[in-house]
Amino acid sequence: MGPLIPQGIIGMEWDLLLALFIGIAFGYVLESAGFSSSRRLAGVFYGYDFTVLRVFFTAGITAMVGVFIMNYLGWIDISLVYVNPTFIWPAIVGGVVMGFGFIFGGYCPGTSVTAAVIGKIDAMVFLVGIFLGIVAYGEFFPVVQEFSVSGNLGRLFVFDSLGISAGWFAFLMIAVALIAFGVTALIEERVNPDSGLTDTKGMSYAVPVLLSLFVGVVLIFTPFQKITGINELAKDELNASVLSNQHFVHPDEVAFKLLNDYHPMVLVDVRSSHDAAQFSLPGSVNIPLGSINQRRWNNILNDQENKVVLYSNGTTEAQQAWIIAKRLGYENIFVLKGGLNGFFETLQTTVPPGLKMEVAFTNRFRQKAIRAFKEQELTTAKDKTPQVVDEPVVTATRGGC
Amino acid sequence: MKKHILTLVLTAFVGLLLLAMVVKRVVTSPYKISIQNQLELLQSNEHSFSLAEYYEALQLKETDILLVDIRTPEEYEKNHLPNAINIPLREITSDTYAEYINNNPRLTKVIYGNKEVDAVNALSILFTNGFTKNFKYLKGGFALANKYVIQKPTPSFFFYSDEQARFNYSKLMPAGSPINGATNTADVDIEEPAAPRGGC
Repeated sequence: MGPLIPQGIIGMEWDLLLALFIGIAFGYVLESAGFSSSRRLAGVFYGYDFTVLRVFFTAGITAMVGVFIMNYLGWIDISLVYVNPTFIWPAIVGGVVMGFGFIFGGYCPGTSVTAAVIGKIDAMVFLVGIFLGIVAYGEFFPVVQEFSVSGNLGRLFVFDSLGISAGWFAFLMIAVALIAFGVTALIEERVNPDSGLTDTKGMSYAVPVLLSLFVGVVLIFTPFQKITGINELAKDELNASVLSNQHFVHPDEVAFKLLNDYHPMVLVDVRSSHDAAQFSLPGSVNIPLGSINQRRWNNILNDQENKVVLYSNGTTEAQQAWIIAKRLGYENIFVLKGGLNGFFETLQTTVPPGLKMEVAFTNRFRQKAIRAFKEQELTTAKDKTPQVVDEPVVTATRGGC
Repeated sequence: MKKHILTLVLTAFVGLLLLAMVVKRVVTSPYKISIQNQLELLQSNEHSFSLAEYYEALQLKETDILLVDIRTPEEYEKNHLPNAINIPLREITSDTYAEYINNNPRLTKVIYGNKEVDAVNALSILFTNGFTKNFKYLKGGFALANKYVIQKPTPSFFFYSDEQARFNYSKLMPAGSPINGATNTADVDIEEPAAPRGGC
């Protein structure tokens, strides 16, 4: 049940309960659309009834417009939505098998359940067939296992393959649907003149057509990106905190954290994963600068108790990451002063002797720290189990109808 | 078709409501660019101006760069790069300096401060106010530019970057190599399910 469960708003245990309600609603809609009649379902293949096509096109477009607009408003994060990977050969074979089953049986899996519930005997026979098929597939799975994952094209989007923007694809999709509605209405009239299923004249047809086209045009200009600005900081506040320059953490503080574990701190390496593979401060998490606005880092960056300290080789990239993180609404974010360069430079610098006790303390601490780092005495930090990042993509919604 | 009128009106109402929210967001957002755009702009190399480029520009009689000093007026009085104008960072979007920020589409405005970071901050503020073109930040900041380009041109500093690693970190901290400590989360592949599922 996305987006509530992947984003941690409600727990996993709600999954089945919500599925029950959604299932009842889905069955109700199928029944209202007349999908419990196998004549109507098969009609799409014989050309006398295109209700199936209209209902599924309408459902798809409604969902598409909803996802588009909610993504734009920042209500859902598209990077959390599960997208079925495309397995091209199994998909073709499965499609053919399903199509034949559809014509022979007169139902698809969801509609057969609906029809069985209202007492249709052919649907009950169809259900028995489904279960026999499931058992057979399960028993013979080792035989087809290799084939079932062949031709993996990964997550495929039609608009990426066509090289157009998602907005244009949405518009084309709506246009194609409207054209398909018109054409199928004509075919219906030819094949079955007295069905009177569609009325293609008059205002009640023109208004929705124009309205959907208008929505399509709006979608062309709506950006479709991974937007995570749900708690976006106001512009004035962002620029004020950029100017106030009070978000730097001194290298001594970080060194102290690395040597003594009772003062925890979340270290975030914002350099590329290549650089981080060469060297990272112990216990740090690598979030490359370009991906910092992805919602999957929420758990790490949204730490209320410990300071989240960003660092790169210098300060520039960490500062850029900080500005973006700040705009995204994360509060407890800091930058390592001087970056890694400044960190090691500071530890190697001896403070000029002065009268104050602190000077002697600082110098002794730095010498101790640099020696400890060299001799790998980072006992506490080293033993700490590496932070495991939750990958919410895996828990995201999946399934079909 | 009469019984569908209620459905039509409801659908139209909800649709228009959603569209109105989109329009409201576009119109009322104080930010001129989205987070994604801001991130891409900040990250792109097009917005940095190396000391080498600055040195080349100095050799020409006529240049199309305008140096903008974002330090305080006192610091500017003391010393600044030749031909630079002073716009203190805090006042970069104020009306007083609007003519320099707005009205020079030909000129590339190169921003510098005491450190690279200050210029990056200035760029970020300009970006969120919609000034995304023809602004760059000078790598290395004022002190290095003054010392190694103006006073004594030193080619070894021409490609200075704040982000260059100045030490071999792994030597100073062997335990810091990610084998021992750091988690490299970026390399963790998102687990793709092995078999297709779903469908109707």
